Amino acid sequence: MVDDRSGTPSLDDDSALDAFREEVRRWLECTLPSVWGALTPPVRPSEAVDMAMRRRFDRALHAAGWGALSWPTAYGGRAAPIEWELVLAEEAALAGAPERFNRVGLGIVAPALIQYGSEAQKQRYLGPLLAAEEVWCQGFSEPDAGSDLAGLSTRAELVDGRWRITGQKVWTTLSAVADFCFLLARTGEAGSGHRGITAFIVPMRQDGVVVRPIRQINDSTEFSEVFLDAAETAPEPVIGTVGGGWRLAMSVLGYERSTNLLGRQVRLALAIRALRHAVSTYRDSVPEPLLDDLVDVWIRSEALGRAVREHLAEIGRGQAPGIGDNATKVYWSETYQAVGDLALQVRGLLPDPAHGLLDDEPDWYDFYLGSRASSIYAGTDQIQRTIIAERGLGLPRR
Amino acid sequence: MTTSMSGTDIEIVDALRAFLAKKATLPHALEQAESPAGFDRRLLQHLAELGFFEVASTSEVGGLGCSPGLMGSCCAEAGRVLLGGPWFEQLLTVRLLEGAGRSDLLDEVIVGSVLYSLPLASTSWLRPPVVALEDGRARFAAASSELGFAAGVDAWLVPAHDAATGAIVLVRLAPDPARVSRRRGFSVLWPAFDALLDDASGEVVAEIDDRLVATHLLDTARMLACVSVGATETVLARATEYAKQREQFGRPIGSFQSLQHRLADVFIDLEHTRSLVTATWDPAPFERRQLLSAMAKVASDRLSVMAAETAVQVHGGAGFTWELPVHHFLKEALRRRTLPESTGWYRLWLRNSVMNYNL
Repeated sequence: MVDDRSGTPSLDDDSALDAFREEVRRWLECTLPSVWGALTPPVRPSEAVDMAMRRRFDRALHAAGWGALSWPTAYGGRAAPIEWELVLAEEAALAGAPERFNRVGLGIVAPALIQYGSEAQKQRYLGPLLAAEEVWCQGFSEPDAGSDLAGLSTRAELVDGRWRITGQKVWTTLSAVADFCFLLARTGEAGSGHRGITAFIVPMRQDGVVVRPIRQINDSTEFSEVFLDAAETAPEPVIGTVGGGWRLAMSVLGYERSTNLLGRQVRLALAIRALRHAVSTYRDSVPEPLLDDLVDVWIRSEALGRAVREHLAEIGRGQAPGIGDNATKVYWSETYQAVGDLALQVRGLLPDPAHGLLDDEPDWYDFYLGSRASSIYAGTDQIQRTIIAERGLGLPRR
Repeated sequence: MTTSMSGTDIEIVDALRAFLAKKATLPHALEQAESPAGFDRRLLQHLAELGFFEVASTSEVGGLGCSPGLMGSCCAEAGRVLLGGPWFEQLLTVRLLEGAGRSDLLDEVIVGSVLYSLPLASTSWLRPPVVALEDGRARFAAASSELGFAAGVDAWLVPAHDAATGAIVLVRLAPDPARVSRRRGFSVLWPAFDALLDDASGEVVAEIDDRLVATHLLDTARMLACVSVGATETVLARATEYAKQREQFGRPIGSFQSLQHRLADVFIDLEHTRSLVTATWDPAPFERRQLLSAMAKVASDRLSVMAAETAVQVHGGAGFTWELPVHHFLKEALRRRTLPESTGWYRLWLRNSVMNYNL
């Protein structure tokens, strides 16, 4: 993802990294109050307010020049080593910053554009994406193509020289607020599998696109279903080549797994720390088996932190994400779910179970419910295991 | 087992791997396990010549100038082949003697001319047996071994304590300890002996302090963890290979998702445990290294037992027999989980550390 690093500190330059960490800390201290607005943590915002906070945070980062540290400078990045992203993610999570708003754009669309897009596409889209002026969603899953993504049936057809899209997408994160969709559609024959899939840019605010929010188990409506009826595509709408959408999507999903896991792992480590705090405060109420469970998730969190850093270092050295990333996705989701389950068990033991454990902890019920999605999205844990077995271990396909 | 191996380190590990693949085969180890000592002394001598015991030395005495993680890599290589004999004890002896400032005793350990056993569990160093310490000598009414390789070695390194101080005691053994009987242990590759020395005496080589004992427990944990990771790499490779070859219902059993996912689970756990174990060799404050080492021990014990159990299951009926070697990996995993130090102690230590926010 990163090519032009001239003039930036090397990976081994610890003092520059330490100085950067200090700078980030000071900046967060000054900036976060205006990001939070009236709702300083631990007050929990509504979803709409949370989105507004996230958007403010994206913009503040962009204004500071830290929106995409590892991107090439030509597109608004700093061409910094991946460790800098790690420092920023760690410090932001520690300081209670919200998650990134335009995370689909940052995690998937931008890497796809940088790697496979035309120069005109990069110039048109990357700037507004980074500034959170234009929000992106990702149109991959369909009602009949979830785990079997290559079986997707949303069609793209050339009408008078313009591509038009017809079909339905589901689990489309941020689609209710998005300006553009990074959408996979079939351009080959029906049944052409992964060879007949192309990646498109589709404007969301048009008559041919209808978005219907879906109420999730945690009452969030962050993702929606999207109906496309001869929807128009953007000028120069194809990213990469016609028929090349599958390879492109799989490649960028690998990067997304790695970079997203960075912040998620830090947040998970903080949640475990909060749980340790709670358990030590109420030690007499907590039976020993639960203490062992706490030790187990603590161990897993340390292993996870180390593994994520190793994967990022590999990417920093220019290697493509490997099968270890698939393994880490499963390991992370299992740990996340175990922490959620443990937290609810601990809370249930306390004198007033309806009340939280401590003031500065996450909302554990929300945390638990949210964790159930982690083994489903970005390729279910079962799909990851099959990929590991076939591509990592070389076991025969059926 | 380190993220930054030097060129020399890599050469040493490659040479060790090639040597072990040729000379330390499992059939050879099993044959040697039947001998009175329970291991092949000449093989350990060859390893010493390759610099195997020297890697445990961090000081100038060793002279290899190797990174700390090199010892971890060497332990992992030994784990891959289920290397027999008191090599692990010999490595720990180097660490203990060096930590106690007795580098003058290292030469004979490093060249393998004196083979050591550590006849007490690592946590015994927290509560050493009480003896009479006088004039640089320790006198035991009786000294007994509860661990492996009591026979066939030249010396024991034992912790001891009197009313005032703790000490490391070197007991040089006569050609055979006074009374030795072999008993059934976890694994034929790690023969357990009851060895009793009547009216034994030994040389006090150094005083024990808390830091030395804590370091001993830390080293035991992270070195065993490396052995477990190496052994699990072999277990996974063998089970995967078998799943590719063995056919039932007209196709390889490895094409069935139920088996694929079990093997994938071993892979997932192995990848992350290896990351954790690698971290134990990084420079960090002592408390942090203690924490990571305890975690690595607990995680790697669970991994290596789970992986070996999975491998037995994948090998089906044959996996439950001596026809295939997979059961030795299970038995060695069970042994490492308990000896020379148990997962349980480290788990308790971690449980007590839950409240320590410096960690």
